[in-house]
Amino acid sequence: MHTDKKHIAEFTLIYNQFKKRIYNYVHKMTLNKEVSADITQNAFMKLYEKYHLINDKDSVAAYLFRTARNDVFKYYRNRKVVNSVTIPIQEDYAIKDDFDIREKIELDEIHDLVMKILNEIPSEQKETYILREFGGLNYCEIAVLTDVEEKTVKSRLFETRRKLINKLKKII
Amino acid sequence: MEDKIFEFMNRYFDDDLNREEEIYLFSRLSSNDQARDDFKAMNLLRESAKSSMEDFTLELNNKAYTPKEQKEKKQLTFTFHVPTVIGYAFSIILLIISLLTYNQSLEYKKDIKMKVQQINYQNKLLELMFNSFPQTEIRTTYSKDTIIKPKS
Repeated sequence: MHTDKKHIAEFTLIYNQFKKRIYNYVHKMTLNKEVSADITQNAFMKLYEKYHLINDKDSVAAYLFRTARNDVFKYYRNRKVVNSVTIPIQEDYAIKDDFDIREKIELDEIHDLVMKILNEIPSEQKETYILREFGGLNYCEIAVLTDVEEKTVKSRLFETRRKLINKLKKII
Repeated sequence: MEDKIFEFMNRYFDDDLNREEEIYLFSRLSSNDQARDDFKAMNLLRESAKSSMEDFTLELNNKAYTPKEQKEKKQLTFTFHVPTVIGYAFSIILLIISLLTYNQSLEYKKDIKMKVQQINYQNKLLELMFNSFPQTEIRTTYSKDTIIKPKS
């Protein structure tokens, strides 16, 4: 394991930059906080072990997402719940002065609906949408990660959004 | 046309539009109610995605830094998984059956060995008995003489 101080500092920066994105991507894919935390930890552990071998530091995001993605698939294989619908229990809302609780509830309801629809559409479309919206990856990065062309990524993303919007327009 | 606006809308939300395309999109939006509704819905979608993004809390940070070995120790609990249990039970039954069969075959082997020994012994006994008989002598005797006479 590499313990060079410079690398540790770089790794800490990367950890702070990507932890939220990786965690949210995994969480939306698995809908399980415990598993998401484990997979996120595992992705960073693997990166830490292999960090000194990665020459192109721009590919760190791809490495992290690829590791997390493999673990998500492993989780699906073991649990065999690829298309099940699990809506997480609503958490308590923290009330702040500048916080519109009604808006928050509305957005959460929309999010629950989105997650429900995402579980009904093909898994490639669901994953592409989650990688874009929660993982924060651009078209090119998603294309590399999922091993498809950029235009396929765009069409999957647009198709998913169209489905979501059509359902959403009925309730708003 | 609708599809083109929708594509531009998507690309706008993905920060993929250039200045001219943005101007074109907003000019189309101002004159198209349907597209404007889509844009609002898309905006809501984006807002809900943003609001559902969970922070990586201190608790999760601590969890991430917990050594893996400790977690693995915690996870060493028995989980009742029906197909696995059936599999184990079946393999144990198979093991018992194969042990019994092997034991039985060993007994058969012993029996056959004994029988072969008995046969060999009896064979030798028979040979001995045959050898113990007195020797026989074969002699020929004329029982009827044949007289050949010439014709007269």
